[in-house]
Amino acid sequence: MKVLLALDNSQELADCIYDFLASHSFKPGTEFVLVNIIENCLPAAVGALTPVMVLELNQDLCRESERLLRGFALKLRDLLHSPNIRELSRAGSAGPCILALADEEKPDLIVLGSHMRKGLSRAFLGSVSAYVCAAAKCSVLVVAGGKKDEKHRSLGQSTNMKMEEAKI
Amino acid sequence: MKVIIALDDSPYAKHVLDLVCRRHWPLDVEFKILHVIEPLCADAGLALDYPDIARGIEEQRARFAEKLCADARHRLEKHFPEARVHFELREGRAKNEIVLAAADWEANRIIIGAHGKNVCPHNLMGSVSRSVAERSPCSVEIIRSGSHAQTEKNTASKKEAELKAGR
Repeated sequence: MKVLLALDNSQELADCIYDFLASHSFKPGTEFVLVNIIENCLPAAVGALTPVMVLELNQDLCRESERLLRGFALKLRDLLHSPNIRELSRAGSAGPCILALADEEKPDLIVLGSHMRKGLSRAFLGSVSAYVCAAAKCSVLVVAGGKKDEKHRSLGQSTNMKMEEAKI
Repeated sequence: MKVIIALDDSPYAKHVLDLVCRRHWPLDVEFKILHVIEPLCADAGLALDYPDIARGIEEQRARFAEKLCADARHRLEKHFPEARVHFELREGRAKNEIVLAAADWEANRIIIGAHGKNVCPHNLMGSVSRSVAERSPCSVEIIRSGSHAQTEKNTASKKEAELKAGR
C-alpha cells in the first residue's frame, strides 16, 4: 500500500495529521510519500516588495518547508517504525500540485488536512480538500482540523437548535 | 477508535466493505455500519394516493436495509473477530443523517463511497459524499474503486487468467 501525505506548510495541520496517524494502524511495508506544498502567495505582494525582498521571502519559505518536512518525517519514522518514508517539497497551487504528484506516485490513499473553513471564507478561499476529493483517482482521507470534541459539541448544539426551531 | 461505514444499496457499497476488510485497524476499533433510508414515497406523492402500496414499499425497503446491514456486520465480524460491530438504520436525508450520526456517536472517522446509486461518468464525486466531507465533525475517507492498487490487482488477476487459459 502506498500513502501520500500532503502538508500545506502549516504546523497546525501537520500536528492534526500526526495525531490522526498516531491513532491508526497501517499494514507493515506501507510506503509513505510526504509532500509539503508551498502555495504561491507572493505575487499579490510583489508590487510592494523589491526583487531582493521577494527572493529572501521565498528562501525563508523554502527553509521553513524543509524544517517542517524534516521534523514531521522524523516524528513519523519514530511513530510508524517504517523506513519507507520519502520527503518531497513542491511549490504551486496546492490542489493541482497534489493531483499531479498523485499521478506520478500512484498512491492508494491521499491523506490531507482540512482547515474546516466555513461560509464566505470557503467561497472566497476555495478548498484544497474539496478540490482533491472531487478530482482524485484514488481514495482520499480528509483529516479534520481543530479539536474533535468542540466540533461534535458545536454540531450537536446546532442540531438541537434546529430541532427546537422545528418544534416552534 | 470509532469508525462509521456509510453503506447504501449501490454496487459501490460492496467495494467500500472490501476495502475496509483489506485494511489494518487498531485493536480498539469499533465499527458502526450506517444505512440511511431516504423518504422516497413521500417525494413521489405515492403515500397520499396509494397508502397501502406505499406502506408495502417502505416495509420492503426497511427489510432490505436490515439485511444489507446484517450481511455487512456478519462479514466484518468474521474478518475482525475482536472488533465490536454495530449497525444503525436511520431515516431521512443521507447527507444530514451521516453527519448527525457521527456527531451523536462521536465517531473518529467516516468511510463513504465516492459514488452512490446515481453513477454518472461526468460525476466524479457524489453529492452525499461531497456534503459529508464538507460538514463532517470528524475525518472522512472517500473511497474510489479506481485506486491504483485495485487496478494493479485486477491487471494481475487478468494476467493470471490469461496464463491459465494459455496453458
